[in-house]
Amino acid sequence: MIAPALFRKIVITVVCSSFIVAACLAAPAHAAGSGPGRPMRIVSLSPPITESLYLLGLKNNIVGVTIYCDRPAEARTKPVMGTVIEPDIEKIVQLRPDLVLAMSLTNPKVLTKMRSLGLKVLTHEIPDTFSGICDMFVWIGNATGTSLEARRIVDTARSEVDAIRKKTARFKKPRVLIELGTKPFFVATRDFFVNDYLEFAGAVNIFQDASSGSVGREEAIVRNPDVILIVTMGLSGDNERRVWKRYSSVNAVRNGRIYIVDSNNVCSPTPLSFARSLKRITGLLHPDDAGGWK
Amino acid sequence: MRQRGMRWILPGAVLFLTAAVIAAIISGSAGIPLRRIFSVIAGGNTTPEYSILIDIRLPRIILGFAVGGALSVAGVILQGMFRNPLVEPYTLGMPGGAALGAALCIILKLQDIFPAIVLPVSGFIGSCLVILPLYFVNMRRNVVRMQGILLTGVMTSFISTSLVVLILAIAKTEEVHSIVFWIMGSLEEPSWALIIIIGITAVLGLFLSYLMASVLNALSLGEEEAIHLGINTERTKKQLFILASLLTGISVSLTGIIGFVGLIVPHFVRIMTGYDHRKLIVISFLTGAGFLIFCDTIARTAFAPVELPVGVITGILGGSIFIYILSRRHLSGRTDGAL
Repeated sequence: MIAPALFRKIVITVVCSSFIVAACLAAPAHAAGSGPGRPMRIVSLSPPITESLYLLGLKNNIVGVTIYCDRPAEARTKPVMGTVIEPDIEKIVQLRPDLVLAMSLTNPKVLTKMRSLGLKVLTHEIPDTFSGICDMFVWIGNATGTSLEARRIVDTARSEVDAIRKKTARFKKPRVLIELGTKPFFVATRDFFVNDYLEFAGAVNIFQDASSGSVGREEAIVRNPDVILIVTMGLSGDNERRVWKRYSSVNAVRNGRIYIVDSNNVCSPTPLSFARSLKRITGLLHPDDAGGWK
Repeated sequence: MRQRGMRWILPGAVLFLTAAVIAAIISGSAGIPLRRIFSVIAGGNTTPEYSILIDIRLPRIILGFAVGGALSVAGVILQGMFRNPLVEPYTLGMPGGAALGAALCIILKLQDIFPAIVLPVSGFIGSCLVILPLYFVNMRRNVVRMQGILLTGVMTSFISTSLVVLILAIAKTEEVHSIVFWIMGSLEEPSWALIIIIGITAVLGLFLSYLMASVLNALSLGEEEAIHLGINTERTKKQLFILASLLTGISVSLTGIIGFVGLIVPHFVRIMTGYDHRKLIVISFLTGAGFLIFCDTIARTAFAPVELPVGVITGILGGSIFIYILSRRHLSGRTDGAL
């Protein structure tokens, strides 16, 4: 048994000294080690970044990608640096890249660690609008010395999107539910860039006012969408369509307007793939008016 | 026979820990060959390999050592004190409290102020805030009701876990990511300062626990017996409770939730050493430290470059080994030692 006064003293000393040590020590920073003569070596820790780098013509500069980077198909041949969330620091440090590009999905502890080891790590928030997607693309261009090309691509995508917006402005606006998850039921609100697909395609998101995407199916049925877009891959989409068939009072069910869209194309976009997906979604939402969408 | 075997347990545990440390330093996805390790370390801070060994693998080993040891000792203390084999450091609800503290800190955007330090600190505060009511609710006229603590602990655990789920349900996507990162236990920690703090705390915790080992021996006979042996049980229980809470709180607030270590290791060690806490505490610390380092090595390398959460490995490996040993003991008819 320890005398209470001594015990208290020891515990208090340990706790206090711990905090003092914490306050005094700071992580040392090293200088980044990129040589001027050789081409920039880039590690991408996110599928949309990888795709953007390919669009910017930097495919030979990419030295590492994540296991999810499968677009374009060529990206699969690049060395894999772990997942988006937990990249493999050892492999990345060993490659000595000049630049690591990541999104805010990546574990912040891992990013801090890489920075403290002298790597140049840039991160970008997950874009929540089309204009955010364009900004991120330009950001990638600026970071990799290809800003002119990035701006050119963004301009192309913007003009395609603007053309669609102009055309759909006079259409009657269907009320649409975008379902992002089935179990639990999760829908797109104004906080997701997929909401822009609807706005630009001349439609209304029935949950654009919701503060969170986790709403009940009951609420979705009450709001009675004209069209349901199920964003998913594989079998669960068909299952979900069968589930919806039970609710024949819903307009979308009655008129057979439940569509499954591939999340790979819709949810991990570059400005160009956004324009492409927008075209397809507009075709789904306005099958009669749209004529040449597909 | 048994006494002769006992002499080998301490060197055995040290050997196991050393083996785990060596395995951890030589294995990883970067594939640095064994024969190059010494030349890389001797070569100094010029190569990426040096960074990988010293700045990436070594901090994880130290953290694994500290957290594995601390959780195991906390497990030994709590199981001895409550005389209940199912109690573990997490039973008292500290992970829930720590997760709640961290989650609140994330949605209130406090981590933008001092990014490195605020999450572990709020986790620690959260776990303390859960423990304090536990302690005071169960104090009656200066007597601590042990079963009350256990039940209240399980309940506060439910409450704080539910509150975390509530926060997850209403938080924004990026906040949800941060919270889930925090909850998924990992030995990755960029701040050397925090690693050193937890290292020192764990070793001091081991030292203090060792000083209290003989009291724990008396206490595990039952409170009445302990009183007859001249022990101030109430004071001891409070000290042990604070010690176990400190060890658990500091572990869980830095590494998130790494389950099973604090439950499995004390049982496993008790099978070898018997009930004497003087041995139990030291051997558990060494074995727990080695076990967590070893599990982390597997988590890093099994599916490299994809890293698994270390809790997955501690659960699968620890659980299976334990069931195996237990079944062997039942077959051979031995009933001494654990359970």
